[in-house]
Amino acid sequence: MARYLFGRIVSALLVVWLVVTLTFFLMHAIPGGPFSSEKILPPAIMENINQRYHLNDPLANQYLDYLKNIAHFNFGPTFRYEGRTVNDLFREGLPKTIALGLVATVLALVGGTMMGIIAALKQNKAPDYIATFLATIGVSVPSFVLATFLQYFVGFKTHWFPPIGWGEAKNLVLPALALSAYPIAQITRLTRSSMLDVLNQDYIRTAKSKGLPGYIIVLRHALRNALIPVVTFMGPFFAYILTGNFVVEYVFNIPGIGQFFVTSIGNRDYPVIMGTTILFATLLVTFNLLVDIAYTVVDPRIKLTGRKGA
Amino acid sequence: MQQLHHLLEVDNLSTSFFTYAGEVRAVSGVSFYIDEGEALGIVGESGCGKSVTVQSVMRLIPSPPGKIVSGQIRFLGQDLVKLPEKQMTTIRGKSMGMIFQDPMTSLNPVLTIGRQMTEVLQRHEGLGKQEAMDRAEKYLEMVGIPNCKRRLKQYPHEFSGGMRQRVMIAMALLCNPKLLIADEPTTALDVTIQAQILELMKDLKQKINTSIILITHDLGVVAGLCSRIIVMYGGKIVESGTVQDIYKSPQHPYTWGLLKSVPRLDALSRTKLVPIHGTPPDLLKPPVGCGFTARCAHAMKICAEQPPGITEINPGHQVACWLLHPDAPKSTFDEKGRVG
Amino acid sequence: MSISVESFSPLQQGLKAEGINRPSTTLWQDAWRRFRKNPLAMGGLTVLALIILFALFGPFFSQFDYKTNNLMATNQYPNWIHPFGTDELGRDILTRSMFGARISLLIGFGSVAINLTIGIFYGGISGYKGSWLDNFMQRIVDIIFSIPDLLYVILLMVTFGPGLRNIFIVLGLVNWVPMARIVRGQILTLREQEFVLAARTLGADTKRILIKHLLPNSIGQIIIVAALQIPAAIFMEAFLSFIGLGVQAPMVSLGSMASDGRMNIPSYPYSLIFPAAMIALLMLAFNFVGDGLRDAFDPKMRK
Repeated sequence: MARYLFGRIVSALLVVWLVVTLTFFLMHAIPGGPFSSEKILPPAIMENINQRYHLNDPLANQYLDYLKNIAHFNFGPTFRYEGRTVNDLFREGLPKTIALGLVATVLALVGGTMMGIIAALKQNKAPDYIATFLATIGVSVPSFVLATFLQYFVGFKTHWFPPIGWGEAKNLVLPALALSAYPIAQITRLTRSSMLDVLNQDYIRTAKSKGLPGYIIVLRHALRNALIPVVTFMGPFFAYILTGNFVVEYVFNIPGIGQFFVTSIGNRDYPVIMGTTILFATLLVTFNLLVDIAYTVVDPRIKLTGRKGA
Repeated sequence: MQQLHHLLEVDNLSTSFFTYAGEVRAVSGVSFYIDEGEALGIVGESGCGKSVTVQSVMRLIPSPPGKIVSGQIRFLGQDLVKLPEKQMTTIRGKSMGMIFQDPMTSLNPVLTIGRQMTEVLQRHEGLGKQEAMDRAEKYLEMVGIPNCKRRLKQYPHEFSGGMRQRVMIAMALLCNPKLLIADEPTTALDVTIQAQILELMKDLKQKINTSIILITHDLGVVAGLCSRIIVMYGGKIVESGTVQDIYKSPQHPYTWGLLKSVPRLDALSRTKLVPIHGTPPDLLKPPVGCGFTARCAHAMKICAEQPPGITEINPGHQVACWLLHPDAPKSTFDEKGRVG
Repeated sequence: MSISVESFSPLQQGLKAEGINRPSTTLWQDAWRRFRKNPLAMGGLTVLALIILFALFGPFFSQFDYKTNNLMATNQYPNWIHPFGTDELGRDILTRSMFGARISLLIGFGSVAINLTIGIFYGGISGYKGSWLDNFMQRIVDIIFSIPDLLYVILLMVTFGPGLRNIFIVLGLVNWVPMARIVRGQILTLREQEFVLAARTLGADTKRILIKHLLPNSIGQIIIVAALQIPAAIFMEAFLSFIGLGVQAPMVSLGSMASDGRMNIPSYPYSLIFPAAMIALLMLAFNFVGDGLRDAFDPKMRK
């Protein structure tokens, strides 16, 4: 167990280091440097800027400096947010991004598994068709379209929920819906198919042969087995919640990390792009590690060696 | 009122599976009975309908696509075919227990053995947690599992195949059912383990007065445990009788074939094992006449045209074969496998 | 019941018992039969065919083109001349949808063709060669896999700059990973199966085993993944358009139309609704076809 964890942490650090390196060199491979896309600045000012951001140092030095800073959780200054560092943006944005992400996560997990179970139990009946239909819509509409529709048709037209902004609980409703639509759809499909699969297993027949009532068979015998594949989906799920924030925060004008990121792409604000990528990669690698540990809780056959028992 | 004497009486049972290709008549017109304390063997090759028969009795046919099309299953004075599912759940596990072919997949992987055993007792006998645990421990001990107390806290994957089948047996017997159905309980196990499980079942049969239906494709397995045998082929019963009847004076060519394909220690060393050639009939398109015609060395024209009626050789020994018709040429079972 | 004595004469029969009553079907026939019986999949296939026809030939029947502004006819609601209306620059949305669908489909099929090639080679080599090479190659895949592809795509697009060609390159560079995994997984499981062993004992060489036995048996899975990756690529392009890294005007894709239409929604919602509906229709069609293929090739998955 300890050995396994150690190995996993080392490889997680390796992944983060690779992402840092990749991001750094990609961003420095862009011809012309970070300020070139703007209107042409006088050479003196250009020189000044390069000096200030150490853009004239040899690449290897810049890289080592960057690594050193990252190790101290210092992501450097921003180019476009005057006088603010990337860390400032993170400090401001991260709580909002996490709050929204948490609400969407709960919504997706609860909503998705419930819909999936109901669909499986009522296979080929109305509830199944409705759940499958909603799930199909959820994976067919791009999130920015869905977010815009929710914002416009629900937010602006009905005024049930505020279409924009941040601060109150009701501000969270539409963004959380937009953010969770896709994972709800995926979890519904996943739960449904794995539930159907489990219901055909021999041990369910055994449970029936013991005379257990239907609800006990579903809740005690089928559900836990059916949720194992859903736990597998947790890695991609968190990835989606994080990256989905790019769109949702931008559309609903929530000053979270996602909005800063999209704005920075438009502005070619490289330190923010690099910082966000690294931050998200780190968060995800951590999540994935937690998911693997969660496995062992759900499925007693798996010991933390990464292998399934007989 | 003769039915009352039998514990279970299956009358003209037909079960079909409705697949995309059409109706598969897995079991058609099967009738048999079992008395209290008796052990009955149902023998036949894979796909002959023996599992579907007992799963119909337990009402465990997956539906859709499966359905009991006609017939009666009388058990303890009730017709199980007509019983609502809710009442059926009070019979399953309590009055009827079942063990399955593959112990590796028949236990729930995410629940401890103790949990899976005690839930039966909590459900049917309303026992408290501790009482149920004690009973479970007693039964595990009875089926020969050492360290029962510790074992109850373990998960199925911590048990070997033979041990899991023992657990299944203990679990099926927890409520002292009137009838235990064992669906090929030894097929998935190693030969040595098979013998142990059979020995255990023989032992248990003497200890607790439970009727047993043992399903197997191996005639060798039934002899030690059962008093009567039913031979099934193509969803129908082709021959039934006591162990003596079936072993000493088999009448149906399929039974002959089965007997000749079982290795025997007591037979002459020159005796060859003779396989039954061909494959069972496609039950999607059941043959008009006798299902065995195409594989039968003694087949006559009539066999392909009309299904044979049942002939009673002596009380309890019934055969469905045209060879027993008075006009038919005489064919007898011959150890060397030649037509007599 | 009277039966003639003649009925009891021996029946002349050959090896009829070995005969099989039902017609035998090959993998492909069987898959196609199941696919055809699946109304959603067939519906998806039909819609897909219609959209492809619409994208390929639609522009020839249109009097408008996709890039000429007509400031006399901006933001028109759907009418006889412009069935989908016009956008804020007076361009016919129907015609733009056709061209947009062209580009989106091109991105979908094109990028999948690229990652299919990389993925089959990578996964095939990794799975078939096994041992340390497999280990090494899988470590690389694991590392790439642990970070969402969206982040790579954004980083690479920022580096290379927006535009159709770069979208191809980037999607191709990133999306081969799941394909390689599937191919390797297929090869690994199949390699252990008896028929491959049987082929080997019969003296078939590696190339023959790969081509005759492994490829046909894993092709089903590969097609399924490809069918589901095409809509994913179209989706990704839409997202890239949204963050300003998609195809550049005047070129138009469904994603860039939707993204432009978004800004315009308070004054004229149709400029978002039509391209969004086209994207959703494409997604639905591809997903139904993909699910149908999965059910058709692997009935075990269905239940």
